[in-house]
Amino acid sequence: MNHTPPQSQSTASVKDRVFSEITENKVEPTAWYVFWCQNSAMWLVWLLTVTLGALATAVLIFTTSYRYYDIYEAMHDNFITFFVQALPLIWIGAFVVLMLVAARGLRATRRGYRLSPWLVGGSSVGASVLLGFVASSAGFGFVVDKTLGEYAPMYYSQAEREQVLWQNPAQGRLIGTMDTTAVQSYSYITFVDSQGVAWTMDTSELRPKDKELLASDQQVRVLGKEMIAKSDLFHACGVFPWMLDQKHKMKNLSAERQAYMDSLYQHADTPATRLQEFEQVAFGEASADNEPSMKVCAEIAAVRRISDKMR
Amino acid sequence: MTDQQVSDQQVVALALQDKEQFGVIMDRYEAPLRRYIARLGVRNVDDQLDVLQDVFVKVYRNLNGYDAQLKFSSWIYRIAHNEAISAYRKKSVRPEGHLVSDSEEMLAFISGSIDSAELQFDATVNAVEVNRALRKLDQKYYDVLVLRFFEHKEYDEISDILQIPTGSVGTLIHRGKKQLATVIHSDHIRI
Repeated sequence: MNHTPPQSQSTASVKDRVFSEITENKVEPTAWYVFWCQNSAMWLVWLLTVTLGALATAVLIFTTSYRYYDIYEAMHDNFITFFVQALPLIWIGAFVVLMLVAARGLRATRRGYRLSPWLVGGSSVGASVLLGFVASSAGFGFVVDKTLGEYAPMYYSQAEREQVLWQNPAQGRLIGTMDTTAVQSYSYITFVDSQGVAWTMDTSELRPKDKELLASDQQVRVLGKEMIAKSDLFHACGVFPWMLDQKHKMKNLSAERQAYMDSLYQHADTPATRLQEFEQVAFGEASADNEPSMKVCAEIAAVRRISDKMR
Repeated sequence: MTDQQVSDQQVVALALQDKEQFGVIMDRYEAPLRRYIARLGVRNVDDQLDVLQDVFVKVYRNLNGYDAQLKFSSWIYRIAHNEAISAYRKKSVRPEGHLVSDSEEMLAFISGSIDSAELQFDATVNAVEVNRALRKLDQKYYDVLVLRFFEHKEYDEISDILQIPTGSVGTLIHRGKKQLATVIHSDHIRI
């Protein structure tokens, strides 16, 4: 700078006034570490919000991938309505808020104003999403969701939501474990649901692998039909493992969904089963085999949806 | 070594050791800052001196917060800008920029950027007319145009003073010029 110092009366006056104020009010330069702390605090806000955003992303990935492979046919007519209803809005909202705070924090750092809004927003979202994928692959999505479900009173974890969805006997869905101490017969077992109600379950239409799973003493989901309303008789059509006790890889979720679809296809009203029905009508008891009637499972809503798709 | 040979950064370092050295900063910046404050809308002379005093006290108090990677002039202009804005906000009045001459240079910039078929420029336009049109601009455009064409600041300096991205400075200047042309056009001023 090569300004020529002004020599007017006002110049001297301002200078004197400033020095006078500095002396009278004992004004001192603020310590350097105060500015350092202020700048660091803004970076900390950014780091903290990006980290929380990463955890939100991890939970979103966990819930979304779980939803993607979920058995939506058991509850909804199509995937879109099911997916929209199950959208984790709280996490989407949390992510948006966190990113706004992160962007403000980054913008408020010492030279943050030089960054373009796209860079400020993009770097915050990008860092969160990237870290979110890492956290998700390390299982943090599942852990955060489960922990919040246990300790936050207003928060319902994916497992809790799933329990509510599956514990609905009137809609043909049960969740619980088989009571191995109370075996009734080869086809009938006692099943205790998540609310402690003991059901007499008809397993005659279950595949061997379903029966194995049922007898494994694990918590399972059962799709079927409550035979008489408010009774304790339940006809089982499919048994599926409870997948929310631990983090599962996507390929496991995918395999489980495939197994579920195979199970429903078996019950579906295929040309083969229609032929079997025709034979039964035509020849009565002298049909090709004497397997018990498949009517119950072929008529449940989930199987009907599959049948409709096949037609 | 005279005061003029010592850089602003060196003076800041010296002022942190000896507050009397701060007088050098005041000597260097009082006139340009006072003019800038006036252009930002603080027209009363006493008010200008009050704002200027507040600016220098604030600069002194925040000397340790000065980022040596910025130009010192940008940093002190930023403080002056914020103080001037605060001053007229306290009075709840819309600022009325008080431009001092220099309008010919402004017109040269405008005429270079606007289609001559759209608006004809005429050398007879005076500073008063441009000033009247400038006062009708949005504050964000007014601020960048003043810094660019009246304080002769570079884009990166304006970015540091107004704390906006450098890319936005160019955009604001471009839009500010267009708005200025529109205002002048609508006022039926043939320039």
